[in-house]
Amino acid sequence: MMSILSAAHLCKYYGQGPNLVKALDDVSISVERGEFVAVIGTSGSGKSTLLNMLGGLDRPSSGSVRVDKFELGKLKEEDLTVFRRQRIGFVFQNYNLVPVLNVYENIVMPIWLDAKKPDQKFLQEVVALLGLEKKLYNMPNTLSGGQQQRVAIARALVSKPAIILADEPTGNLDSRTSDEVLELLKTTGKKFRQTIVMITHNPEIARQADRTIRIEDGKIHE
Amino acid sequence: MKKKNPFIRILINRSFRANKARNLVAILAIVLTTLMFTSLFVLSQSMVKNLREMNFRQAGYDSHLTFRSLTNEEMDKIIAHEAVEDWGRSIVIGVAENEELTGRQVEIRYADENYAASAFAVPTTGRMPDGENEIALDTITLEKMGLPCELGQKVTLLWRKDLNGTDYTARTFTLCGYWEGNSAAMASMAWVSRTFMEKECSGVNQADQRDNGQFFGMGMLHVNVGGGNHLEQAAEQILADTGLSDISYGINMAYDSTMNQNIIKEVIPMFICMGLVFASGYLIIYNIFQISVAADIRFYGKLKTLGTSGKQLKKVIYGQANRLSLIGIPVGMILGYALGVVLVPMIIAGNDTKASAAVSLYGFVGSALFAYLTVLISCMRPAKIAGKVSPMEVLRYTGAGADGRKTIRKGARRASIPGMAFANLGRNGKRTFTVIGSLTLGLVLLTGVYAKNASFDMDKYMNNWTISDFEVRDSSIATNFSTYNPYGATISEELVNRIESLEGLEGVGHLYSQIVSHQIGASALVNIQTYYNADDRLAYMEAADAGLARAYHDMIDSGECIAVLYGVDGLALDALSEEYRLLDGRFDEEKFQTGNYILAEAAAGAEESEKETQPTYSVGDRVNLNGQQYEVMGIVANITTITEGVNGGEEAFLSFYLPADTFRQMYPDHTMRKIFFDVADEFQPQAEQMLIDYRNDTDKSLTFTSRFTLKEHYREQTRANTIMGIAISVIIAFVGVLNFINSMVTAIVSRQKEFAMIQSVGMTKRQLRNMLVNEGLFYAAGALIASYISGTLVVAVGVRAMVSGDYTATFRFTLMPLVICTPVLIIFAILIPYICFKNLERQSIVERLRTMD
Repeated sequence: MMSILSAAHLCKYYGQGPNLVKALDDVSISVERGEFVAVIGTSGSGKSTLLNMLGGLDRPSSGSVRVDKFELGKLKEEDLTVFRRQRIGFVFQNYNLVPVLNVYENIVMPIWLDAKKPDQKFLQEVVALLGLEKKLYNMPNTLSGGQQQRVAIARALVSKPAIILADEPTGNLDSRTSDEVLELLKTTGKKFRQTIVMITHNPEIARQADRTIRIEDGKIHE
Repeated sequence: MKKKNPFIRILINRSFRANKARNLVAILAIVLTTLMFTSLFVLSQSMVKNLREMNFRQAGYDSHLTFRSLTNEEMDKIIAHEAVEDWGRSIVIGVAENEELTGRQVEIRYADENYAASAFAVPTTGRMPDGENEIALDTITLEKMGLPCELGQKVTLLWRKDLNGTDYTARTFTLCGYWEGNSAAMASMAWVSRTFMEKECSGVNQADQRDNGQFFGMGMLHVNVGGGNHLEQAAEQILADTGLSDISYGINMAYDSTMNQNIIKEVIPMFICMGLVFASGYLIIYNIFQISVAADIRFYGKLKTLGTSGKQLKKVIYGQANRLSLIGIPVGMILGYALGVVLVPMIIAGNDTKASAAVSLYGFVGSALFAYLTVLISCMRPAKIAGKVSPMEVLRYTGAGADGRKTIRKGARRASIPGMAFANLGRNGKRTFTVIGSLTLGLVLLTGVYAKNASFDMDKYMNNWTISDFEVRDSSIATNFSTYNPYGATISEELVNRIESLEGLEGVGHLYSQIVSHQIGASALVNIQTYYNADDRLAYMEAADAGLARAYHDMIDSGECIAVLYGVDGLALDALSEEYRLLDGRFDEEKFQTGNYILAEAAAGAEESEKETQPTYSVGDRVNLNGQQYEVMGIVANITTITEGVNGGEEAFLSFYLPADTFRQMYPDHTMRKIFFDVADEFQPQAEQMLIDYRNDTDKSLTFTSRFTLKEHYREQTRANTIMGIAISVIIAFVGVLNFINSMVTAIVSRQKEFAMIQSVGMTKRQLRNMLVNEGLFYAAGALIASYISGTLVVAVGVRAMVSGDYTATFRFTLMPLVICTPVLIIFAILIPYICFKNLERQSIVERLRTMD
């Protein structure tokens, strides 16, 4: 089976000489289509850095990332942005909703940016699944943390990206809401056959994934 | 993406609405910029229009050419020429010589509608004369004659048909029309009817009249030729083709290219202003967008993370700019037009006629385009910054230190608040430099402009126009074309008595004159030719003034010319013998008063150009005048205010000054041409009142100049420059302050999290505020030190150099504006961080520590 996401010999260094920090040190991973992978590690282990590289938000010092048939290192800045909105759905710990847009607008934003029309049926389905029907025209600041994160998930799903990258999506939520969100992520991933790479430091959550990758000091410990 | 993305529009909409305060400031800035552009356009266009009109008014007509002293047949021939597109004709009857009209030439003439129109003399009330005894006059003539501006008035005019005779013709006319007089023109017109003209002129032989140098019955033509270029060639061509010779013609000087150059010269400051408005508008709007983008950078970063491309982000910025322009520009145009209309009459100091505002569609479109261009260019960099925002910016706390190159600092500095503030300045050297640089630039420019203006010396300037506080002229001088009359009665014994008994009188000077025919001595003849052959002066004279050139050649051929003898004493002599006006020789008052010496006059303006041979005798030469020998004691500058009008329009090539006593022995019956007198400042209004009373009660033709009035007049004329200078300096200073605010705000906004962090580890609010105020004060101190240093240099070197060549200026070292701005800047330095901090304070530390949206 062909892997949808693969990283080879990824390195990310900050600083120079004695101050050199190796955030990532020769990391290679590969993720299959439809897989749910959890990345765990202590804080400062380099897991967020890895996720940013995989999503094309940051460029590695060396090594390469391939998503589908795209070699991210070869894309120009503008193309990388377009690639991101078309192929990758992000879910952040701090939700990253656009405050001046309402829930509906936030959800369809990546599609609109592409000057395309959202698939209404699919959109309805996602919204219903996430229980956001009644909140569609609310502004983000009127929602609770859990609701905001659900909007973010809806946004990540609705453009039907190849991969969903989630960086501690439950980090800012209480445990009950965390369970809910996690369950939703899993369900939707299954239902829409999407690949999910999720960062967490909670082993409880990691256990629910198909596979777990442990990262420490910028290196992978399988 | 060619089509506008609807989502981008939503983003533009929302972020537009979310930035109310910024929008208000930005719209204000755009309104201001547009307003300045529009009013400058209105001003410059009005200036061009008014100057052009003024030139025409001074010329007295607006057609291309005028032909004088023509017979009817000659007129017909000229009119029939193919080059002539349009014409008007007139027949001269005479020049009114009524007592009341002394000081104003009133020409009694018949004219057709065309001629009247091109001479700006079409009745605006009533009509052109039709019946034999009807007449149309201008308001100046009516006023001089003491008649009300009402149709049906009886007007009696007095004139001589034969200029050499003493027979006066008197006729009473009925006023059938009048128009606003044109005081800029040299003469007023009095139109009589065709019937009257034909009756009067029957039996007049025009050719004979011309040969006798008479005007009566002679025709005049105003002619327009195609194109309006090469008027002289056109005129010569017409005369050559029609076979007419010895016809004198005039070219309307208003069409001369030097006139247009003058107009351009007047308008250039306007263009410079536009450049400055552009620059300052750019800086202001740029700053506003820069602040706004810097404050919203996380917002843009988030959009970028979620897939908004750089291009799309730029569109969001430009979209907002467009919206702001859409509101700001029309408002600015309306206000600017209004301001222009108000300013035009103020700035274009009236030459009697009211200056009116002129606007063309181009002006409006132009100013709108300029303003929009300013906005677009201002947005370029902020848009680029927003477009280039890294998605990482939003994901991670970067802070301002991200690009710090220093990785190690050895030796712990004492951790004081000012020390921290100082270190903070160093974090972004470029920004610190920009802020201090733009503040300094504004302050230095302000200081320079002020020092330049302050160096203007009104007294020095006035010396060009008048040598004394008051100057009274014989009324024959005030009339441009009066024949030379050395026995004028204006400066009567009565008037002299009144002047001499004035309170506070400080000095008097007298001027007498006589025109003589002079056999030029050999040395002077050489000097004259040396002078005129240098610098193409002769060629220029031939091109500009054919009559003068002819007189010049006659003089060279015959060795004879008309010379003016002046008798001077008191203030007039003092002025002539002033060192900078004495171009050669040494003046010895005692020797001069013996009556054996004379002063010879240099060419006009010679005191301002390089020293060279003057077209007159040399010092030490002996000059024969009226059979007496005089030695030339010195060469003196031609002081316009002394010589102006005295020689009665003769082409005099030589002028000599004698002591007034010597002159009076020679010509005991001559009356004074001019009297000059100085009065102590506090008595000047009284002195002026005395002259006004004398004019009202005794002699209506009295004309005088007062330095006091001239000063007022001058201030009026230069008001525009002063206003502009101040406005520009204020704008520049404003930009500097905005830059300052900008850098403080961006510094604070981008460091919110950092501040929260230091606060969380124990820095008190007061300490933080002190740190910010300290940063502000460092900026201010930097700018002030730089300003004082470069301001001193600019004033002491730059302004001094600029001023040194200017004869109306006395250099004075001043840093006044800088001194005034010092406390203002310090207050700003404290106030701005204070206000910014107040805004910051509203959020709790925890709120700020958490990732901000």
